[in-house]
Amino acid sequence: MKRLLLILSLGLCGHAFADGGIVQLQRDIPPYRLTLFSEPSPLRAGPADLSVLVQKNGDPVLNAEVTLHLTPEESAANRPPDWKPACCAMGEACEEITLPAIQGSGPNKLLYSALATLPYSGNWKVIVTARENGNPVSMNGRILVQKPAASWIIYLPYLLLPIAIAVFFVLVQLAKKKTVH
Amino acid sequence: MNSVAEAALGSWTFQPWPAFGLLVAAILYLRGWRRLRLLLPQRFTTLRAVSFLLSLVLIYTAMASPLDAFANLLLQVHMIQHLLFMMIIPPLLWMGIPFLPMLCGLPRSFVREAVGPLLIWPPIKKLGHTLTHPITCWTYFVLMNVFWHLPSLYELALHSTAWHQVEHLCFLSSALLFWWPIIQPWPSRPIWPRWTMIPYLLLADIQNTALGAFLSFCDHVLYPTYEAAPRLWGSTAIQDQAAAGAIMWVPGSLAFLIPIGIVAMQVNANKRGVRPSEFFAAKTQSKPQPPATSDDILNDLVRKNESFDLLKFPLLNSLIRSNLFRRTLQTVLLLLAILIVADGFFGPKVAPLNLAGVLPWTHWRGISVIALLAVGNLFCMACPFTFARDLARKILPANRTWPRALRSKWFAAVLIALYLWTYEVFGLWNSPWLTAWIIIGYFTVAILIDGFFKGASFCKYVCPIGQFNFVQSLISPFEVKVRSLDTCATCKTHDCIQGNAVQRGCELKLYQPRKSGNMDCTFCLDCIKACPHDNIGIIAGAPARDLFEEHRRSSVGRYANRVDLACLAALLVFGAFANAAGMVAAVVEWQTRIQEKFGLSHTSMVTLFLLATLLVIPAALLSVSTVISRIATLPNTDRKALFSDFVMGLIPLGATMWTAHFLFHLATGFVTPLAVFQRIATDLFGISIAIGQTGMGNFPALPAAEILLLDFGLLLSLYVLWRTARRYAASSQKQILICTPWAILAIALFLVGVWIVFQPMEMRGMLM
Repeated sequence: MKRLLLILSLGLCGHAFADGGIVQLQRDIPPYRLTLFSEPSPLRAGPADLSVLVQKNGDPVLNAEVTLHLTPEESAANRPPDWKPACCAMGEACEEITLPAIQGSGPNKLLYSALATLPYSGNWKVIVTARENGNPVSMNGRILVQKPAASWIIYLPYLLLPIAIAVFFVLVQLAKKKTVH
Repeated sequence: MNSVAEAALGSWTFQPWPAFGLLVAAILYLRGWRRLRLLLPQRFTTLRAVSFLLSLVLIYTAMASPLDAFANLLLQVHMIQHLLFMMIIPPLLWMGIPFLPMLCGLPRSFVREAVGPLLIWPPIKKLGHTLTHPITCWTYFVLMNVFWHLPSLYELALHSTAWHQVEHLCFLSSALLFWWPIIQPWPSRPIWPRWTMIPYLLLADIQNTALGAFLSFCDHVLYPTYEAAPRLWGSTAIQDQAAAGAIMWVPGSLAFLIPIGIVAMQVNANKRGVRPSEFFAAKTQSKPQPPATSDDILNDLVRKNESFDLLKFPLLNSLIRSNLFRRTLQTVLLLLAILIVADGFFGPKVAPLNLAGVLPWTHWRGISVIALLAVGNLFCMACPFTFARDLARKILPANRTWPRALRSKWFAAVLIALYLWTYEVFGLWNSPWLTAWIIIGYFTVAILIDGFFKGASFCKYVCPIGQFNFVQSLISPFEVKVRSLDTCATCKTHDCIQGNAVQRGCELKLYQPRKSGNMDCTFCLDCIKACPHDNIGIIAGAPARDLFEEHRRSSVGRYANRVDLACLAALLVFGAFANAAGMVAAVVEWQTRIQEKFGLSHTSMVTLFLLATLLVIPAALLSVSTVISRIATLPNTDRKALFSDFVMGLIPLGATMWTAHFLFHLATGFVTPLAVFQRIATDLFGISIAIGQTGMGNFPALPAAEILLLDFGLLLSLYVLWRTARRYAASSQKQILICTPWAILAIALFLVGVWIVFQPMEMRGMLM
């Protein structure tokens, strides 16, 4: 339920993870190939959709268990988070993130998706582990997380809306005046 | 079908905004189409509607289907998505001839007042003519097609969600323009002769073929993203690109060649002097429509001109009118109040685990303000305090008259200011014990005042909740008012105010024929039940209309003469921002720094903060605005009237700030009571219920919803201010001058509201 609300919520505010995003990491561990995608693009501190495609001999695997483990490279101790949620709790940001990626939870049902909140910018170490029939394969790598966009940029369409309506109103008034004349 | 194919084909996603937009477009179209079909059945056929609706379905399909989910992995899928946007959707949309149906589907007043004048305005007509000129259409389409297929730009779109949306918007807009002169949706007229559409389409096809062939035969991968993407189903990146080129080339060309054939046939038919449209028109004319059709249209128009009345719904009408309805609501709230008080006194002192720490501060406030904005003053309708005083009146005399000196909003304004101070100083949201005492105090005062004084003196002059609801409900969409003034003119008994043997009249002394807006109306519905002519309803109207209309309101008078009411409104407007700012991280840190620097106590700091935000700053800003407005009008304009009138214009902004603030608490703490009920069940009955997580955490959509609310408040405030200015000056220039300081103030308040929304906040009433 919470996940459903969060997905709907992300969709409403324009953070929609369209199609898995762009390729961040890819490794061949025969017979498997793991590919990690991220959305939004470019990846910024804040909410992010991380998706994994697991392939075996080129064919997508749908019955694996996939987990993601993320750690910022630079220690977060005594460092304020780069991203704080607008209009939400004044809580502490967590440094290490481990979360399961669920198949079919994102738009592309071939991918295993997870919603992560990345509070810090900079490089993050990522470990993707996939288990099919108990056999684990994992891929290590590094992803670059940029500084978050300013809140007013994220919500710019909502801030421009009254300006657009006001311009429309002014145009209508002008049109009325000219028509009367 | 194997599981992989099933998963791939099931890769649909729900896109709320496009779904909402397309649904609204479909409703508007069908609404207008249904009416126009009665007038012009030969023009607005079922096929037209099907064509339009199909185009909407395809737009959603292109955005939410596997086509979108796989567009970043396979170029050929992306190409099919683009083909839908450029070749299939636009002609289908124009074949639905959507202009008149959409116009007829919009609210009539909106078309008359806004869209109509704009559409016949010469600059807009000229712009439309330029945009739909075949040269503009063809050039824009070809440029967009070539431009967005350049590797650097295509990659840009693949790597950025925003640019991807811009790309799709460019494709759709250019294609809509391109197909305009070909379909020529009625009632537009062609600029060029029909035969010119053949070279128009042929030249576009040549460009499309060249681009498709280039993609098909290119020996390297043009878009690196597809080279890096994991390969699905065994195809290589170069094969994928060749397939994409073939899709662009063959089905793309067909999309041009089929219309060429149709246009050629049309041109040929015209040479023989037989126009298909004339043929069908003549055929239809020979079969006149039954006369009932015009009657239907007339009836439809008359029906549309009636105001929307909630009491016109049979079930709702009998429900609302029944004596049990209000009593049931009041009883439920009374029982809840008793539970809250009991838990507040005897339950745990941790607010999020106590009903008194959760229900009043998170749920009741949130639901009340949403009800105010969506319907009207529903809390006063269900008020448990008036129920208690009605019971007490069976013993107490209630025969005194409320003192004349106190018949204003001053006393209530002081109480509201006191409440805002107490809330911050004592952290009321965090103290179930104090909350319980406040509720007890409220019941006691309500019973004492209304037990000794006549009418609803407590509601009208004392109750801070009531005053809050009265002011906020001035922008509510519904109002209790008379259906026909003519009926009132013939009424001799005036039961709506005087009452009768079975039903009391309005206790707040609102005489229905002269009542306007929701000020002082508790939605008690006594007048509705008392009226012997069934002439009072709960009628929809333009929100905030009452704020700028100049007339004498029953028992309220003119707003221009009510400085007390204006001050109450100003307190609630600035109070909305001060109250929300008090829970914002930046403000809390700033207050702590000042406290430490000057050695102030928490109480002194809060007092200073509230004095500044509720008294000093508002007084300064409102005085300056009044003085500037006065200079802009005539120097002899009454200063108090100017102040009182324009302050009312800020109410919508204040109301939406309160709503945004309480909505935040409601959304983030919605399931918190589950933990409380879990605790009560364990304490009282020893039952352990597993409820799961009770903290809702973060919602990225919440700031968007809050900003939308503030947008609405700002626009409504600006509109009210402008309409008020029109009363003070005849010329546009003077109106703008009068309005400007108030508009600047409204915009400044809006920006403060947006800043507050963007800040991290205390999760009051939650275990966080």
